[in-house]
Amino acid sequence: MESSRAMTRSIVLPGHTLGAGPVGGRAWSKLRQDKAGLLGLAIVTVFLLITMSVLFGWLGQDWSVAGGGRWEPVSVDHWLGTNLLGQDIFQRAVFSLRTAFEIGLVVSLLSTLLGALLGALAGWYNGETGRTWVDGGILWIMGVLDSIPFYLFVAAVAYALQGWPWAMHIAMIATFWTSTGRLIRAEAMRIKSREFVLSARAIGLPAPLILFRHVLPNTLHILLVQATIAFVAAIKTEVILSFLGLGVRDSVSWGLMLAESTQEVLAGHFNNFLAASLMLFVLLLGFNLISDALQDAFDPRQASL
Amino acid sequence: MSSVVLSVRNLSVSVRTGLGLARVVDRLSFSLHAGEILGLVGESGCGKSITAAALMGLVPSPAGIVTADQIMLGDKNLALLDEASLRRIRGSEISMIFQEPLTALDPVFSIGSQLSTVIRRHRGENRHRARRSSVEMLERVGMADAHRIMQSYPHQLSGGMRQRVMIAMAMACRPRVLIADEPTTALDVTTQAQVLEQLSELGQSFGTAILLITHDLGVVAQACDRALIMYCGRIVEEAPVEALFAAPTHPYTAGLLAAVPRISSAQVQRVQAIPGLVPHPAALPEGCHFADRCARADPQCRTLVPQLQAVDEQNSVHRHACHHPLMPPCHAD
Amino acid sequence: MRTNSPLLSVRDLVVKYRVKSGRRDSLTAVNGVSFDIHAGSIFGLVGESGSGKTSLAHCIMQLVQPAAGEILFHGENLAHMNEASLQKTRRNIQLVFQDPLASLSPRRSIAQSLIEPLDHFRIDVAGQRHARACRALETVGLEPDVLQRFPHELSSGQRQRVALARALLPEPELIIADEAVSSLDVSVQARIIELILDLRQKMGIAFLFIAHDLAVIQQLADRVGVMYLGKMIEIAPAQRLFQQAAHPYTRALLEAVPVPDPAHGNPVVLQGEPPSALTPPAGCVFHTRCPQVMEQCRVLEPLDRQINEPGKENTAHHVWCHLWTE
Repeated sequence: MESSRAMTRSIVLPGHTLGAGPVGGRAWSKLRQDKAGLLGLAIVTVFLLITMSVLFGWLGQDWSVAGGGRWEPVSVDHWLGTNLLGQDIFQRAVFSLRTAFEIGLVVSLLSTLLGALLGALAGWYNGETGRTWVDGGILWIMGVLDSIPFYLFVAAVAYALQGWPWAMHIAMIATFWTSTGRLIRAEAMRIKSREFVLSARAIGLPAPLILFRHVLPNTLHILLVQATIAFVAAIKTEVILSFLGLGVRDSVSWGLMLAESTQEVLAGHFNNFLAASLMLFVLLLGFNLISDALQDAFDPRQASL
Repeated sequence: MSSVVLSVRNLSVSVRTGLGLARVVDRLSFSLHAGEILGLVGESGCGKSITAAALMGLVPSPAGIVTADQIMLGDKNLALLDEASLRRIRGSEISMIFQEPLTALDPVFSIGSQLSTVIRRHRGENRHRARRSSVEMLERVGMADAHRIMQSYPHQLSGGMRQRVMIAMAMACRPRVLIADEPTTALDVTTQAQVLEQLSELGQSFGTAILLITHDLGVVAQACDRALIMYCGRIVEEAPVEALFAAPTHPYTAGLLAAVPRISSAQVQRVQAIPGLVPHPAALPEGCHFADRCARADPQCRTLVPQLQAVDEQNSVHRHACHHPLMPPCHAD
Repeated sequence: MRTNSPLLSVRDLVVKYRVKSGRRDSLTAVNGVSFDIHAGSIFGLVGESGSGKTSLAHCIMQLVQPAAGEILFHGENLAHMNEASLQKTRRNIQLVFQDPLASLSPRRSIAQSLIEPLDHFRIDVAGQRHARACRALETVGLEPDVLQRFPHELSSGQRQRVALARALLPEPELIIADEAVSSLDVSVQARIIELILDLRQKMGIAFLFIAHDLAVIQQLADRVGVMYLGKMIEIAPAQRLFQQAAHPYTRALLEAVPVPDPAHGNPVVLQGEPPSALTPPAGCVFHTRCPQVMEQCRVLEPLDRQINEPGKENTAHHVWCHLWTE
């Protein structure tokens, strides 16, 4: 890993172009060379394809069917055996993948978006651009949300909105956005003083236009990384919530499987536990590798001579 | 001519860029004599800063590939030394100061602590002696209130003062060679003059040879004894500064001199731009790199690389790399 | 020149910034500055770091509100303008910055950056804006194929030309160039200087050219103003300033510039450190470093004094110095 990272560092020559396109060829070529990142991408792609199969109805449809006996071993009918209720573990594990992607994508996209918007507003409306109460207000909300112990808050919101299928998602989005918000706020304050933003202000462009056109696009590198981190955090949080009984209903997830498996393991049956935890581990590993690769690719630290 | 302190033969640095392998420094050879100030002059991208990094062994690898026949500092060949030996030499026998002193100084340590650390590491003095040597050094570089400066932090000092602290740190161990990379570019004009004077004076009294890297011809005229003009990784002219400014022989040097605005108390002399653009280091033309922008170029210039040679037999200190040099006493067209 | 009244008039301008530092809570970057710029002329504003010249430019561009004083454009006070007039003024005053990389939005193509002011000011019909952008590029000596590229793909000289092209698009009467050539290589700088002179000649655009390099100022300016620590200390026609500078600071600046000629002799070194802008000296701001300081300089602020024969307004030589007041 060290050698592949070392190779991707390049030297910037002042005044000369290194690559075309808005993101800058630098980041792209670094990504392409990062072996670990490519592995992560491969893993996630495979899992994504499996999820699509579930969506199209080719796999995992019989996750709730109690088709077999209790704790049957691995067989041709049941690839990973069955659980306490005779349900096929493989089907459940694969369907859980769909659940995981759904939670992960919804929470990461919406929390990143919310964090970006509120962070940009807070970063813009402070100092000489006026309306500093916007920054003050948003910072206060962030402070309040962050001081509440995380799992307690998420659990409380999920409990209060119980029965509502999106309760868990709302709870997570409401808490995850603050870290992105702070990062974007700091970056917005930095970008605000750069000359291309001053130019935009000087010709009289209204603030929302400047934020969307000039500020936010230059924070994409942060947003991409934050989204991958949020994805991982969402799935892990779901596991905990399922243990608390506040997880998914009318569906199956790895969290639920793991919760069920606590009893099974005591009775000596590990299939349920292994299936859920291994798949969970591999997917999260894939995302973490991508996240690392993205961070490296966007790293401004280069040898510049 | 005093003795040679640093002798560089065929130094080359190649770098991987998005467009291929770029020869940013191309078989550079020059010598630095004790007590002199040699200017390494050129515009951005010509390779002067990378040359400095290469001399100090600071070019990151494997991104940059450095080769040299020799880099002799006294009797040591820096090109062959390993990292541990280089670390021992850096700061004690060969030192470097940079353009932006705010980033070269650690913001969380006081000036006194940073200066003493350098002195203790290389001179092996104990804490007390090191502090006293630090104060001495600060006074030596012209800081009026040395004791107060010792307690201060980098952000509390002005740019000129920080640069003087950098000089104090670099010269504390009386190195044989000091490389100064654009030391005054970030400073105001009034402070610039002070710092350059300080540098010259210290170099003289410590016997340190100084390699002064700059793009500013005014700085070269004020501070340097000799100068090397670089273009696209090669030295195109080498001469004592009086000869260089009075009668440049390479068309690029002449072009540079014509492009520099000068204050005049009489008629304003209009600056003249050099036509064309600097080529990308990964796409350098064959032959003389300057041919496409030169009014005197002919087909030979585009195929044969001009070598550095003396201007005439009597005058071996003035050299140029040109097939059709401007012969004195005429200036640029 | 159309009339004798100035295009831009700055009167007793004061710009302050809020600063959280120990005892002081505001930094006065510009402390009562007045000057005029006439249509079609180039005014060179000189000052070192901390002089307040950039804050002055930002205030004229309404990026920051003045604490006191007024800015008059065509005789109208900017602070009293309604939104419509302000928009017109924004069209007429354009800004070019020092760092060509930072002044163009990195994620937008050159075409997008050029068309933005056209869209915003509703210049021309939508279909013709592209053609206008191409013409502007031609004026600054660039090929239209630059439109597809992104800022990091161009050299710094090319980027600065794009910045100038963008400033030209709304057909302004005044362009403020804040250190526009300072970070360019000498040969590229010469080209941009030629370009600016060309633009002034062909299109009659006035320039407020801000720089710290007096030699560059001499190439361009008709009239020069020198600032030190937030105060204007001398204003004169360019020729007079370079021949007969009146203020000791101006003279020190002129002598400190390194001359590219080894036979010239070393610059005269100005002693002392520039004082902090947070706690400016009392009396004349320059007195702590002035080689000709007198008793009253430490206590009394010098007033504006015209030291040549009164004639046309834009040939007056003003200086703020006790050496010239009886």
